[in-house]
Amino acid sequence: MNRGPAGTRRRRSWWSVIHAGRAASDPGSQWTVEALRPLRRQTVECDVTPRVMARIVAELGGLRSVALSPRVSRVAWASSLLLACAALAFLGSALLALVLGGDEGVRQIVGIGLSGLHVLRVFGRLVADLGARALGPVLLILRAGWALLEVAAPLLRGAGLLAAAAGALSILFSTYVFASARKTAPRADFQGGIR
Amino acid sequence: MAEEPTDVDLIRDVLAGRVERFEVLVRRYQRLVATAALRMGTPRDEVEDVTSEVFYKVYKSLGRYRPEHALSTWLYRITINAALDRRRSMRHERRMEELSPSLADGRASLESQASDRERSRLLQEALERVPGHYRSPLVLAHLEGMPLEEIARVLDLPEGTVKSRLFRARAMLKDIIRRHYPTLAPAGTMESAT
Repeated sequence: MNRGPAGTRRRRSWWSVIHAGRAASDPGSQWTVEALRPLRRQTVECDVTPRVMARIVAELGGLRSVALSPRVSRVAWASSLLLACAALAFLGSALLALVLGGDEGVRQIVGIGLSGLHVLRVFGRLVADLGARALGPVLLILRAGWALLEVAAPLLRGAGLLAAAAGALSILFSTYVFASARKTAPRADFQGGIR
Repeated sequence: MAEEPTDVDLIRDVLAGRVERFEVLVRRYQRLVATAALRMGTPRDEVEDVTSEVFYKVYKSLGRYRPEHALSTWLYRITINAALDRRRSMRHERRMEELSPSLADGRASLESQASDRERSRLLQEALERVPGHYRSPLVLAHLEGMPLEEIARVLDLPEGTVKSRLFRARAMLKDIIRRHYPTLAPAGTMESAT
């Protein structure tokens, strides 16, 4: 047993008991190093490189060829932009050739486009007329309201001042009533009784 | 003679898309990882699985590596977590149940043969009986020979906590050896310790 004679512990202070217990339990670094020495000599020789690399490459799959160096991706980006510009130029020139060549389909498309434009113009004019008609009376009402406000401004200011004065008076009156009520109120103790 | 690339150089290359450079890192550290996994209680036949899993995890989270600390510190952390996870799995639980009845036989055979290998096996068993969060600082300090500061970094714990866990772990190991494997106690120390 680790304990000394009966009653020894009772005579010690609590902190010395704790410290003595810990010191007895922890065998120290030297003991542990000695005890674990056989395991220290143990090492593992293995080669997991092919396994790890195969797993990584399998996961990357086809993506690996796409995820090339930044220089290659820059070249790819520039060439795709060039291709897009060339395609746009080709489309534009083809359309121009069709229009200038007097193609039937192109003429019809141009006719439809012009008619659409005309319809849009008429519709726009209608909407503008309607807006102008609606805006006239609204502007009149707004103007009248503004004039009314200008006339009534001194009156409104007076009313505001009156309301503020009434509010202040009401607060003063409430304070007075509360103070006089406290003077005459019966005193209460902390147990809720009345003295 | 060409100079060896540093870990940081290799990691930078891998992140830039040169995945094949990861192979150099694996070759450089696989022994460290495998040995740490074994010392953390991974059965020998599962050490390769754990090691390759560790490197795969490292590859997947390579972007999160901070070069302020050594790569080995990070590798130890991942290895310890992987080894503890492996131990928590059902398969290993079964293995541990199988280990207990063999203790008496192990003691007998140690008394009769006292072979180094048997001693290591029994020590490993004893070490596996120490709970994981106490075993980690014990292995790092007394088997890997790491300073307290680095252990704290590996385990992401304050140094004070590591120190107290180390005390507890040593006490537990001593108790386990005293109770179940008395012949494993270092010669001439058990009497003074008890």
